Amino acid sequence: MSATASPPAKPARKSISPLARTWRSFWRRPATQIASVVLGLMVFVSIFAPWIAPYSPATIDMFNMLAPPSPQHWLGTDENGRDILTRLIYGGRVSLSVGLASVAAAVVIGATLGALAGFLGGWVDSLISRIIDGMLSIPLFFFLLTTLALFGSSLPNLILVIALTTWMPVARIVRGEITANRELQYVEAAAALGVPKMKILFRHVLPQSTPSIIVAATLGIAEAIIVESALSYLGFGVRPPTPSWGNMLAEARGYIFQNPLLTVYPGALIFISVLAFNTIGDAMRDATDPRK
Amino acid sequence: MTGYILRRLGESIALILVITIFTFALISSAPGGPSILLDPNMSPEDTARLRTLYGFDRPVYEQYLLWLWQVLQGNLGFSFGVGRPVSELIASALPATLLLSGAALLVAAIIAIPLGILAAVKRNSWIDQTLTTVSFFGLSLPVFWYGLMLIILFAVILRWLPAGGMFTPGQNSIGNLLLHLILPVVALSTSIMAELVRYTRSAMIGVLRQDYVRTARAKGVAEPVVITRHAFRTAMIPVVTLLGMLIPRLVGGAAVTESVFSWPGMGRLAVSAAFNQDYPTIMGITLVISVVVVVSNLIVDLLYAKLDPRVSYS
Repeated sequence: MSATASPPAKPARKSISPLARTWRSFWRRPATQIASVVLGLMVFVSIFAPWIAPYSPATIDMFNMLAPPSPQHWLGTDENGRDILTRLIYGGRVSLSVGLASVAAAVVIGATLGALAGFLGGWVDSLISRIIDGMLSIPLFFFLLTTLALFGSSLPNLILVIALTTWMPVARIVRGEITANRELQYVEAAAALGVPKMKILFRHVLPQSTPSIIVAATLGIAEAIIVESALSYLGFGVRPPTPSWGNMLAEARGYIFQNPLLTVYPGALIFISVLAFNTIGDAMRDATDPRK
Repeated sequence: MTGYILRRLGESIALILVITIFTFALISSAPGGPSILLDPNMSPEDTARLRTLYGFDRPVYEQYLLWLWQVLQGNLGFSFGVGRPVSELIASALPATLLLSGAALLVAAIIAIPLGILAAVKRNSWIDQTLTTVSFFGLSLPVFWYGLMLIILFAVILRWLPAGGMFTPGQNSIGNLLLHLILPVVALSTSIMAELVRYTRSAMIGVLRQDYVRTARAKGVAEPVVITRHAFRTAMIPVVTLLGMLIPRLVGGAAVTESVFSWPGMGRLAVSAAFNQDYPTIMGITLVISVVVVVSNLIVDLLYAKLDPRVSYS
């Protein structure tokens, strides 16, 4: 309507910053909004778990085992009489923080190696690219099992091995972008001014890749949550009595006939959180994609 | 072509060697040492004898070379846990895994590729939107939970299908095997299917935009022929690449699926070997899985050359 009414008004259209435009295109979809609210809620509940959870995750009640949902225990109790809702809340704390921490570590490894490969080129690039390709072409799940079985599955070990097996996508993306950017004039200008090579790379070139890294990291958290819960389900991840969604699922498996609902809750939360991270990651990718 | 195959074979062997060296080094540096030496009922003399017998008293690189030498002669060693040759354990587990992953890949491809094409052809229709949304959900499904839900629904509540295992005891018919195969295949193929739908869709959309497709349409070629004869073949090239990239995920997913459905394959063997710190079995599984994956990748690459006349590998 306005276009036909006043054509010369076009240049006068309120200009918005690129950041605001990216944000608008990100926030436009209802799915993104739902996913953000769900995740925000999960993070909030995890952080304030001790104040929100009705019981302690370790309180055993031998007179109240496998109880159905009731006003005292909204989701019932497990085989040791522990409150399911409480354990889900604390389990989410573990699962989300392992996911977050391992992705943080994976980003450090992936961004550093990818940046070095893309910026230095030559044999460094071929070596790192070979490692990336090789690691992407083999099933690393067996490596995870072996390492955790032999070295113990403490939380730091768990975070470290998940990071060591999931850094490759970040490295690949960063390498690609930096290979494309390293010939740009600002790099040449910085070099002509005498800025050291590594400083150019880590202070000027690598920060340009921040949007892509954030996207890869968001999708990486989804992946890391699945890996952690699969490992915990198999008994190689977070060890009971510390609850994680994965090991709660494993414990519930034994009571699949008495109370099948026990297997529904933890898995549904894994699914929902993974779905939310994937939704947000996807929306961010679309919003930051310059081709759109 | 022969030169290319030889080079790829060389690279594959190098990759397998690197994987086994790495795994061997990892195992050797584990705290505590081999579980077989930790039995408190053994006298110190017996422990010493075992140590020499297995070669644990030698330097690590010598142990590795010894292992490699034995492997080249077809000997994968003796399992610590079960007391049977590793080759025997693997020979009984590998077919089960190949059957499960092969069936899952086949089912996923048969269902997902036509659906991906349909979504691309009917772009932005409700069919496309439904398929895209459903495959997005499928990508986020944790296979172990999905498997459990399938068991609860189809084995516990409806009692239509068995909850796990490969055969009902005493019934070794093909029909019984297929009945046991359904749920694990559904569980394992879903995420692969989801990925394939998305990928086929975007590959097909890219191809349908190209000039030669417009030319074919302009010449009056019927739309179904344009899609199946002209566009499909080109769109399959990136899809085949994706199949290659999915293989490691398929094998890793098979390991988890096998545990959920008590399927007697390599994944379950790997889980128990890791639990028992059964070094020879861990090494044997690592070697065999690497060979399977590397060979499948090689096949995918050759298929790629076959599909795309522009690729000649010289």
